[in-house]
Amino acid sequence: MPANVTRGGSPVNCKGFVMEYFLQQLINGLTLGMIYGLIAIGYTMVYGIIGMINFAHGEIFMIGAFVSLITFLLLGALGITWIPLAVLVVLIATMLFTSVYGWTLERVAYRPLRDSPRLAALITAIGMSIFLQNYVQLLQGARIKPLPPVISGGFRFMKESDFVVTLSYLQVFIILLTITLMLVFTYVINRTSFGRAQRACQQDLGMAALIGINVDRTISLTFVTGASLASVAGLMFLMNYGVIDFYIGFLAGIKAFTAAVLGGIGSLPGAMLGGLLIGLIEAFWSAYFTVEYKDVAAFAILVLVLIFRPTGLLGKPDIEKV
Amino acid sequence: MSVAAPDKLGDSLITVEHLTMRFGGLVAIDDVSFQGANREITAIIGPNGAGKTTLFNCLTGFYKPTVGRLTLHHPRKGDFLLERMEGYQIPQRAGVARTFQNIRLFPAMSVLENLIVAQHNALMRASGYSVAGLLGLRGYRQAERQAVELARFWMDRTGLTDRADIDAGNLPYGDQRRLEIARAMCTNPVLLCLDEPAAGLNPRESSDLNALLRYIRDEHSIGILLIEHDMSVVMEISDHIIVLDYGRRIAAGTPEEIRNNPDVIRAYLGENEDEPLPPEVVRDMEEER
Repeated sequence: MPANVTRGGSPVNCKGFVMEYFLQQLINGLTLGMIYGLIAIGYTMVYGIIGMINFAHGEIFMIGAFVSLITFLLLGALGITWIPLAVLVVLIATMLFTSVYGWTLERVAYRPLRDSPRLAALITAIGMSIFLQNYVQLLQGARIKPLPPVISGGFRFMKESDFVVTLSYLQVFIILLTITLMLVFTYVINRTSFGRAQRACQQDLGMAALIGINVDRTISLTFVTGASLASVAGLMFLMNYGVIDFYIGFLAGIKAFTAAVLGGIGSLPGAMLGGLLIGLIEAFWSAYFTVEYKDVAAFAILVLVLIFRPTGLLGKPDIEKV
Repeated sequence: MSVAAPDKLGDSLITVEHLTMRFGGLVAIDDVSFQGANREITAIIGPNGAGKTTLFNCLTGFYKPTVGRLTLHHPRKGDFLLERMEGYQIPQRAGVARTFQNIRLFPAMSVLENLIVAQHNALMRASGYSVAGLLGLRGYRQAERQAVELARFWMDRTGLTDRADIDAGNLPYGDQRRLEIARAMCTNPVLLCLDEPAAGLNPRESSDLNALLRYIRDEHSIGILLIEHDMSVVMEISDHIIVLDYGRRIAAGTPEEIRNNPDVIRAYLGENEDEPLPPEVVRDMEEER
């Protein structure tokens, strides 16, 4: 390993701190991966049920971040500064508002095209993505919006060495919240009536209607679920990076899409696994190679997966049973 | 079990009037009218391409008929005009269930789940269309127990109990056929439309099927519409037979009447004995043997 590696663009002398450095990147990568994973679930669920890639999903994530920011500022203005309460209110507000965006997106843009060729729906999705970007740009302005750190401080490990590994409270919050959401989500999909209907629609839309499942409503709820998970990712992104603008949905959306493809599009555990892997790859690439090429690394993965394992890590190949 | 008060034998359950279905220039069904009765098995037979499956697709909302009226006389809820209903409402409100010639189960769900998801509407009603199910409200828990009970009942009836946790896609063919019927029954229908349920079954499975269909007709007092090529099944269990040919109804009556009807014999065997039989008729006759 090279003695001098770059981290965040500046060289860090990590000779002798190989383990510490590795641990720190692992923590950073996991946090980032959780955010990608939450967005990726929206891609994979929508693909599973109606077979289209919702390219406007990244923008839903961006809107989630904006709603979070606005709610934080509103709460600040109202004088609610007790952090746990503020974060909880923001979480609920962003999930509710962003779900409405997700629902409307499906209702207005995709449902009328349900029976059209897939290309029509795909182009509409790209159109909606551009529309939502410009909509937020017009409403909120193009400048970067900052948010002062809400949760600061953290656990520090290996204090005896010069390279202190930090696990910030924010990272703990992100990891725990994601795990909680995943558990709830898994329960909903596997154990509730809505979850069963969702899986039934995923396997055979026509047959689901024939046993009396309201397919339109199930598809709407799928968009709502995906949007609310993406909005949580938006909140985490906002708190993690502290700055957002109307364009963040593009890159994050495409990376989450890469994660969904890597995990196997249509597979829910695959989306989470893919998200974690993309987060880790990005963190380690930035740490040991060059930060400038971290996006190249992520997208190289997309290309390689599409060439060598198009069904992804956990995806099932479509085998026609005879 | 929700065995309603037995409805009078022969009460009309489904009335099809002047049904016509055109696809561009092709007339798949041409002015067909008939009635299906409660607690009776009405078989619909005819050579391939006669329009039998198209008729089912009209009844279950897959197609909107070009012309015609399809009235379901629900014994408890009154009349429904099926051609005007949204696809999913036909099973949900009018109580029409259906199976397919090429089986359509939810392959990645277990046998039990296939039967429970068929009771989605009852469960959603119990949960008040909300997240109540998630929170484990008492009413919902009870509804879920009932759903499992009904599922178990039909698994027992169809001999699938010891396969409850196997994914439907991995079941042997005969079990898949029976599971499809069990799933249709779990939607609590008043009219059951079966599209070639005996296709691909061996003689023993096929006679089990006959027993199952008779049981459903007699004990659950519902009507059955049956598309079937296997004449041993049709003649044995049907109360009433409708014969279609090239989209038209050419005969209707009891099995005995149909067996001796000259139009039916002509449709199946050809107009003129000197003419070679069309290939699809030959295939049909072979299937019937």
